Amino acid sequence: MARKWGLRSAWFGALVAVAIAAGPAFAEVTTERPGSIVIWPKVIGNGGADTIIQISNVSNSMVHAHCFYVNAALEPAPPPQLGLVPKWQEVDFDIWLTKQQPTHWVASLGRRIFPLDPECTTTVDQCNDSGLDPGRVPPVPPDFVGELMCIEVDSSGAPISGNHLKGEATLVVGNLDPFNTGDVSKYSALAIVGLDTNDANNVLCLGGGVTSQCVRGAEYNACPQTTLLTNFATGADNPQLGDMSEVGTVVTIVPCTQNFEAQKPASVVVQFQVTNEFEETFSASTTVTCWANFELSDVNSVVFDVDTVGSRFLQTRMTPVKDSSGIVAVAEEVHRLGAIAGRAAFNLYTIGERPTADVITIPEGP
Amino acid sequence: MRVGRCLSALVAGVVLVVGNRVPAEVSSDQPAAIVVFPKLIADSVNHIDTLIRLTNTSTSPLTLHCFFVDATPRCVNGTGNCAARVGQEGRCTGDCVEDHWSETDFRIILTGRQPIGWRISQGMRDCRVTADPDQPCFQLDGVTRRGPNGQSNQGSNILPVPHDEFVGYLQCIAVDEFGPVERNDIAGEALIVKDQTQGLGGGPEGPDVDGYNAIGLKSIVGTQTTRDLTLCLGGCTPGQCRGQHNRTCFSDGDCADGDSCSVQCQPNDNCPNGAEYDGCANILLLDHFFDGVEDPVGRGNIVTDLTLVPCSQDYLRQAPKPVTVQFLVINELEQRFSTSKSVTCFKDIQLSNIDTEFNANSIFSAAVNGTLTGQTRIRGVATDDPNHGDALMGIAREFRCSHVTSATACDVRIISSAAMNLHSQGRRPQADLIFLPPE
Repeated sequence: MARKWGLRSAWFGALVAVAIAAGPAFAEVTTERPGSIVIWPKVIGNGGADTIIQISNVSNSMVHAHCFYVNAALEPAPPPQLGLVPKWQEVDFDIWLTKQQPTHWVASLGRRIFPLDPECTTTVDQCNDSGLDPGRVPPVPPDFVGELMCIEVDSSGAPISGNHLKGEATLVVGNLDPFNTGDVSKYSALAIVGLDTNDANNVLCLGGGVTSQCVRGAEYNACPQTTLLTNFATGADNPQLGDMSEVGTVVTIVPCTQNFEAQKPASVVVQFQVTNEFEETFSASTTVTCWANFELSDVNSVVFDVDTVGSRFLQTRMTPVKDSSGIVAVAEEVHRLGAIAGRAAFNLYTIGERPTADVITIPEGP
Repeated sequence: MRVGRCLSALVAGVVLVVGNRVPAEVSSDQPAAIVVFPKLIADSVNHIDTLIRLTNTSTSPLTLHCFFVDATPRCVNGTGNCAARVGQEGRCTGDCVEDHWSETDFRIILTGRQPIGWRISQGMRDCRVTADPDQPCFQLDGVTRRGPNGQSNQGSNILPVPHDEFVGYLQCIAVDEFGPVERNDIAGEALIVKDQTQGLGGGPEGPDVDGYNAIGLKSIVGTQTTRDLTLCLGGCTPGQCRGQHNRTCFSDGDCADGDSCSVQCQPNDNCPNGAEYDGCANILLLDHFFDGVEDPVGRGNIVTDLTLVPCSQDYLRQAPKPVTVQFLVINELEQRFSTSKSVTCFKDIQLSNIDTEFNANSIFSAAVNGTLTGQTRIRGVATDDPNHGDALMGIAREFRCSHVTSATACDVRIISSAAMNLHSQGRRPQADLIFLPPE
């Protein structure tokens, strides 16, 4: 009996060790490696700016992706609520990419299937849409602000962990801002790496363990525990542009948990921990529902303010509170000199992974 | 009983394998022990400077040993400088020759979670001795002021770049008084700022700013047992003999007769313990607009500059070795083109100048490819040199240009620019090495 128990213990130990070994070694969201879910947190197509989306297939096989635009433009809240709430209106479409094919579209224009698009030549430099069309991509509505998410699927539409997709977004200031028309900033789409445990159903489990929704545990890497930003304090000057300049930081946050099936926007409370150059620490918090794009000073006008914190540079750590959704984020710095501004977008650093699962629920296929 | 022992051994073996952390790749979105800023520029003629931000993500103080590498090309058969892009004021009227590399090093001490930033043309010193109060300086001098936990920046002195019209890169390594340390606590960004209010381009314009994240190499905890000055990035990690578990090996030949090794790879005498840091990527991926195409949304034609820096660095002997770089270009019609270029120490080049001086005829030009965007796969060709790896790191910068004399040459006025980090794919079995000078 004792020998049997010893054998069982040894086998159990081996299985546990193998299970640990099979787990994801580096379970974070990445901005520089291909993944199976790619997220562009900040897509603008409202006249004030437009966005050029680039996505490519890094494999030698055909890749299919199911993409979701989420419009977070504000609209009047339904009675009896007051004020404005995000629409959280989702529109989805499919694209197909041949081996290692790059493609692009302009958010406000979408992309049609038209094989006679003019090719670029030495005399033709207006050649948008030339090349193999990846499928019909709808243009976003004229008030669009929100996110784009593309999920790698197989030819039947079932999610797979191929890790073949990467992307970028270029934000271009539009004609409504005549001083800054054509100014651009660029960031990489955030990629979530798929794991071998993907059961191809419509519930995508990002990190975490076995739950009633995630019967096989994590199917994709987890969202980060903390997102880190090194930023100018609000109102600080750019030392090169002089004391007449002013730098603002706009952060865009999207909850990791999303329910496209029930169209339920997730809410998350985000804690901000701010450290200045004197190693002094301040904190603030805000609630993000669906999608948020705000200047840091909108979260708290004091703890990010240069006159309060007393230093030009800050380290800001953004952490979602326990038991809420995880977040992904990008930042855009605006260096203003009077009415004219220069913009630079940044992907943010991430630290750690969330212990609990975030769940993306997509509509069931046919 | 014997079965039980075997199983216990199996458990122990599996646990040992699990315990060995597999090296990952470089990353620009996670704190690391080595960070590289591949593109720095300071050019007062064109009012361009680079602002660097560094932060310590831990609560303990962190010492960094940083190396500025001056890779400014030399202007021959003409006058002017080679830091300026073609068409910019003061651009060399002759040829730019890349035969000059020199390194300058300095130390920074960051207190817990402290952020700092400085202009490379100015450097950064103790606030008590900084002449211009509007320029960044170290606030916690350790004499008049310390942080809440008693930490300070005492001993830090960031040198300005050695001259104006500077092009090069910066590498910072986490160290202590004995050498490199296993601390993945550095995060950083670079902002290239062009002050266009000075009348460039025929009239007042706004500032143009583009930024990218520092490229990080994470230390593999538990591997820097020797604390030597040769840093091993990736490469072969020793395994264990299957029959004699306490014996490390790189191949079957290192084990007893009849025994086998859990890995089969080529050892590197510089790295007896295998990888100490994450390895550089096998392939860099760049999705870009083809040069000369008109921006489908904004104004102007687009060109892209690519900056590449070898992962291997010899700060001891200051003798950079060339790396042959293969470029595989795929357009939106799934057609492929390829070309190659040699990179020694540093390369900063417009895409459509990689294969030819005639931009419109390049495989990176829109006129040749016929489509707006492309994907380029960049690979340093591996060699057998045990003292030098051939992997690369890099960033790209996109420029929107107006009034170009040809669509692919951004030679009159830059409307706007944007920098981006590259994506990476795969690992390679060869190690890259960083040789540090002795203290």
